[in-house]
Amino acid sequence: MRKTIFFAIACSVLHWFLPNTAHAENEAPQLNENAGIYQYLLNQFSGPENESHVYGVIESNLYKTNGSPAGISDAGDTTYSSDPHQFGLPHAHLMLQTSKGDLFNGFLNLNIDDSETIAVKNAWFEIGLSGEMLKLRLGKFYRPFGLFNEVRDSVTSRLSIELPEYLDSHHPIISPTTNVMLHGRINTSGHVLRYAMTTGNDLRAGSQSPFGLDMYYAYNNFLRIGGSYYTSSGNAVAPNDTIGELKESPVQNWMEKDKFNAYGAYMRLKHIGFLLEVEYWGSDHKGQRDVEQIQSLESLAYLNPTQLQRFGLDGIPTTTNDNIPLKANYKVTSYLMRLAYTWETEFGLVTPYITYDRYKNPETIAEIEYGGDSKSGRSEDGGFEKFSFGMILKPIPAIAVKAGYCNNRVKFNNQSVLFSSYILSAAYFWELN
Amino acid sequence: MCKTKPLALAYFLGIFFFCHVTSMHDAKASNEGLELIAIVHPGVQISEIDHQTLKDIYTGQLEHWPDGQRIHPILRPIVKESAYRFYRDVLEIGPEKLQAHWQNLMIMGERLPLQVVHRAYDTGSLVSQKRGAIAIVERRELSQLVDIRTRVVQILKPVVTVLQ
Repeated sequence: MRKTIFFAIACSVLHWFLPNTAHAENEAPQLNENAGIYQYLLNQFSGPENESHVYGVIESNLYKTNGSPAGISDAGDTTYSSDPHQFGLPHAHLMLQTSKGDLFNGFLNLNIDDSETIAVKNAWFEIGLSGEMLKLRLGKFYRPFGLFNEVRDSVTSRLSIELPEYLDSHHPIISPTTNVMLHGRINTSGHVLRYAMTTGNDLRAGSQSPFGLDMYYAYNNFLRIGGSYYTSSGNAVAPNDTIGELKESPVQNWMEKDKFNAYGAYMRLKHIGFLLEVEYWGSDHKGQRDVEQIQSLESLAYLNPTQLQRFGLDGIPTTTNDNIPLKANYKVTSYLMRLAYTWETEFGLVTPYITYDRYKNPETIAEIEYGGDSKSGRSEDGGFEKFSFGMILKPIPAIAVKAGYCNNRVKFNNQSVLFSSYILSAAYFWELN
Repeated sequence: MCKTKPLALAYFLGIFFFCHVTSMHDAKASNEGLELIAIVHPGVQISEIDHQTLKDIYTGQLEHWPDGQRIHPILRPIVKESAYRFYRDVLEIGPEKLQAHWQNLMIMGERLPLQVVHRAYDTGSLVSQKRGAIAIVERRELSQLVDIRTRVVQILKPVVTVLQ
């Protein structure tokens, strides 16, 4: 019934808006008075203006972590470990974009990552319902949440190596993609107001309708200020219901169900080569844990004393433990500050940057292979700070060479422990002529 | 002998004045030739365009003309003073940064690539063939486009307010 109502509303909106976009122009598809909306749409599809382009981006990197806290010895001392350096291929994208007439756009974005599987990152088509003020996008696409979710694949133009912690694949504050979006922009003399309303399957448990609202105001290339809100509109579940590696899910896989809202605001200032970015994000979770999953977590994964206490466990695996608290009400918070300066040299554009990133999630654990995160889950209270600095060199716009160094601070064994990591990356934007 | 000196002086002064006036006129003509003009497809019903609208078009902020036609911006590489002026005065962004910005839009699936055309005649031909197209040429280049059907659009300069 709800779907029928939605379909009826969508048809009414289409019918109301489309005649307004008609225009009188000799070679343009004409809206004949007798033709109606279907003929008009047909003209748009069969018209001569059909453009498409094939391109993509490839990024290869080298990553190493030194001296991260690994455990506690019998004597009560912290033990440390260093990972061997790793070569990675986080981005190998094939992108196809097409436009038909004045109204239709389509986009396909495939990625072949390190696991050598082809992932459909984006596949959507869009219809302009009222010029730039109202568009309808359907398919699978990155939601316009914050400053970085939509540009997560822009590795040659984004002024950072890694995504902010609130979008990290092991503990994102929202699921990155959704399915339906009504969006648009109002543009007057350099002032832009953009809005987007989204819904989709996301991580819903049943027939819920998750809803996202994103809005920003921008003035030329100088200022962008905005905010986002997301609600799961009821219970959500993790994409895989067994204990294992969890990617792109704000819901832990030991939750039977989880109802959550995410919200935040951001600002970007650009002036004479300077760039300042500030973001704050929060997420309130009201979850219910699955007792069996928690018990299997106890037998499989390392849990620090705080996590054992939180899950009502004593560290001795058993299947008859009744002290596991089912309610899991907690809050995830994240802050980001980034300062960069770009100047033009004879070698190309050079951008040094510094970033401060803070993230706290008390519900996660340390081991990635059981659904945790190596930084947040390692910390006793689930919080960590990351201070990073680096340099980006762009000899030509299609190539970006990046080098970054991070210092991470976690609470471990009642101490504040620092460990470092570095990352080198080279990215290339390619196009077929 | 005494009469020839003033005559010679007057002659040289006259030559100097003539050369000065001619050079001033040439410089003015040269500046007029370098003046930027927008050309659009004949189906685009506009007669003038301001810097902000051009900036919005070439930075991908504006996708449609007021009548709903999709805008197809055509860019010319920096090989001339006029192109340099266009980046400096209108877009207020360098070519590398513009390219990086446009790449970003492409990776998000928001825009198809900017078409870059070198010669004025080729630019005019493309604008005449492509619905919704716009390009920037120098005023003196219009003489090369007389046999091409495009609409010439004046670029309105921003109003400068002087505070006293």
